Amino acid sequence: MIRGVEVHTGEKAELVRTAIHAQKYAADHFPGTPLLTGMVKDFPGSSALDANLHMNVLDAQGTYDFVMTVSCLDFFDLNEILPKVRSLLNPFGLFYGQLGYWWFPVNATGIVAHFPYAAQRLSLDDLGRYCTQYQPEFLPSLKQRYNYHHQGKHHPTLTDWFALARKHGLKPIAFERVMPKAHQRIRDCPPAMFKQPWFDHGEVLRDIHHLKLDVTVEDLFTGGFRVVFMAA
Amino acid sequence: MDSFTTEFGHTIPFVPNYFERNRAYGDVAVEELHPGLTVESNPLSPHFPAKDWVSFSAMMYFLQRHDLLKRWETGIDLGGAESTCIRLLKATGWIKHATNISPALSI
Repeated sequence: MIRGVEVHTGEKAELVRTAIHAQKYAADHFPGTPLLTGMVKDFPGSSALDANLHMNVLDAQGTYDFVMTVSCLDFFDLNEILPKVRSLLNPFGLFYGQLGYWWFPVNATGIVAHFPYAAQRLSLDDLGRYCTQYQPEFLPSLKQRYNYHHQGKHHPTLTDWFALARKHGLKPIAFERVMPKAHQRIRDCPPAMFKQPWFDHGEVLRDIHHLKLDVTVEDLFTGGFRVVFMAA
Repeated sequence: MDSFTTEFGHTIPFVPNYFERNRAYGDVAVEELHPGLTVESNPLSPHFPAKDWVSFSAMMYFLQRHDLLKRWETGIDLGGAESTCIRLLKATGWIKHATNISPALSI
């Protein structure tokens, strides 16, 4: 069992406040994930960093037993960052990623239209036509927003992530989809949205499949995912 | 009712109030939705971001569930911002040496 640490009494009030927010966040984003309560201070070891590097991740050097990232790989072309991850790992080293997902109804691009899954079911050209007609204020930033994920080069499903990882010398050995019941970016999201009379996931997939054929209903529920790759 | 026709010839009807209901959430940071939460420079103070606490918890339980949690010599967090997760990993004894790459200059 993972060990927590006792909390000082004098800081209890503030801790409780933080914990309440953390529990709310966990309930919304990671249903079923318990918190490691009590892990606030007085740890058995030092928390000091051995190195705090200010550099482009792609320029990182050295090798490590464990490489982790939370919501950072969105910024990179996967054909550049995955070889870098592999080069940073010792033999049999592990990479852990908590990663964003393109196929959620409103993803990190923040693109919102008058119907769900706009970024996913419209091509960039169609989004441009839609914005011109209905949201001209978004036009200047549309291309930048649309290309936010992996520099516009990938809209990967989990299957794509696995294939790309293996191509670059990383063995996928564990994953979990994160299917939040609520999300900070939107009010209408699955699964509740699937109950609405105005929603038909078949129509959403019909449109998406013109752009990417292997997207499934599971992808429409997936707000992010956790994965472990092992250095091959 | 308004609608939009895609280049593939499909007509998507607009959902009443969908844009208005969801637009406001487009650029809102987590902390803004959780008023009262403060983010301070010391990530291991009681104020360290709830989001990082949750991310660390989620990672640890995920690794445990998949029987992948073990003690490592060296670890690095790519784009770790305040480096909370990698610091917690070291402070709780799962890694001996912790390195962080700040995302501020990495994108």
